[in-house]
Amino acid sequence: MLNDAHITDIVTSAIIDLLGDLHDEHDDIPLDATFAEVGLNSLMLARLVIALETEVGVDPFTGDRSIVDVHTVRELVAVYAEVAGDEQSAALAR
Amino acid sequence: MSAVTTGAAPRVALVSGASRGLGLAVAERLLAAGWSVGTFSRSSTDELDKVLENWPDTFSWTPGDVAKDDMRQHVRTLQERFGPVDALVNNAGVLHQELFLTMPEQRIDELLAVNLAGPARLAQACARQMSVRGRGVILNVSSINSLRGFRGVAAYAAAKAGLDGLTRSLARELGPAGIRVNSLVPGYFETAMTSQVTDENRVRITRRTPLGRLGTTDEIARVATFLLSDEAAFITGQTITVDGGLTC
Repeated sequence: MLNDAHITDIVTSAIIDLLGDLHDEHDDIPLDATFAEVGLNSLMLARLVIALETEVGVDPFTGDRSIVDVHTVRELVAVYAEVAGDEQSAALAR
Repeated sequence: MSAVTTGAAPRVALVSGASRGLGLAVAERLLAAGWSVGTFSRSSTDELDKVLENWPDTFSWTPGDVAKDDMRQHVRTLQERFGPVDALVNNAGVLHQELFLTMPEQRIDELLAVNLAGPARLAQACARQMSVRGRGVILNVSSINSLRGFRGVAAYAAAKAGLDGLTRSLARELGPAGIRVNSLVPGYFETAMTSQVTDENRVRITRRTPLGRLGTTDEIARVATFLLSDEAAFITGQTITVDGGLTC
């Protein structure tokens, strides 16, 4: 089961992978920072969502929800926590 | 075939609607050049079965409808068989001729779904995969109806013009991710789709074409494979018209 801490770890690790050399390995990813403050441009943010689909197994942005309404790393973690919870609840119900 | 032979590892292409005509011709040229090719279409054809027999290890077909199916699933299916997609030929489409004034609303929706919305969703599914690897090429098969007005094809023309707009915007958006996007605009060439053209119109088209004839499927397919190749590595966001000069 994916908990919030696990999802936070997945999201921040994926961001660090995307940033590559742009990220100082001694720094954590601040959860309340905006994507621009973290160093993600719009294309990198799109690639982050694609990478997270592989990691988490779901893409929360296929329906009514849009990535443009998500502004900080913490908000992004919350979206994935919500959809991962929904997926797990659905799996348990089956 | 040298235009699509790069000497690199075998490449993977998805050609939608390659059960006949231009799509199948492009698929065959890619197969002959060493690519692995997947396609889907609503039904199979004898021509398609023959190509599948000739290339059993590198060509695959699944039933599918570009207007209705989950395009990401089609891309995943192809990846499982051959690996990540390097090239998309957004070829699936339907031409229906009918005066706009009397066309049922549902038919308008269907034409836009098959010729624009579905191809856009397929382009997105492939581009997502390509962006991870930082390379790829998308070729949208458009129509001269996107460039010139013709009576009886308003909804089809609107969809194809939309596809050209998609090409230009995607080229801007995906260029930094190493993905090229172009539109191929075939003029009138001999294929099942143009068999609906009346003899009278065929004569008129020929008379208005500077080169004095309809094109051949192979002439269009050659340009398609060129645009997919590394020979076209600096071409993106363009609408390439191959029509014997009809629209010049």
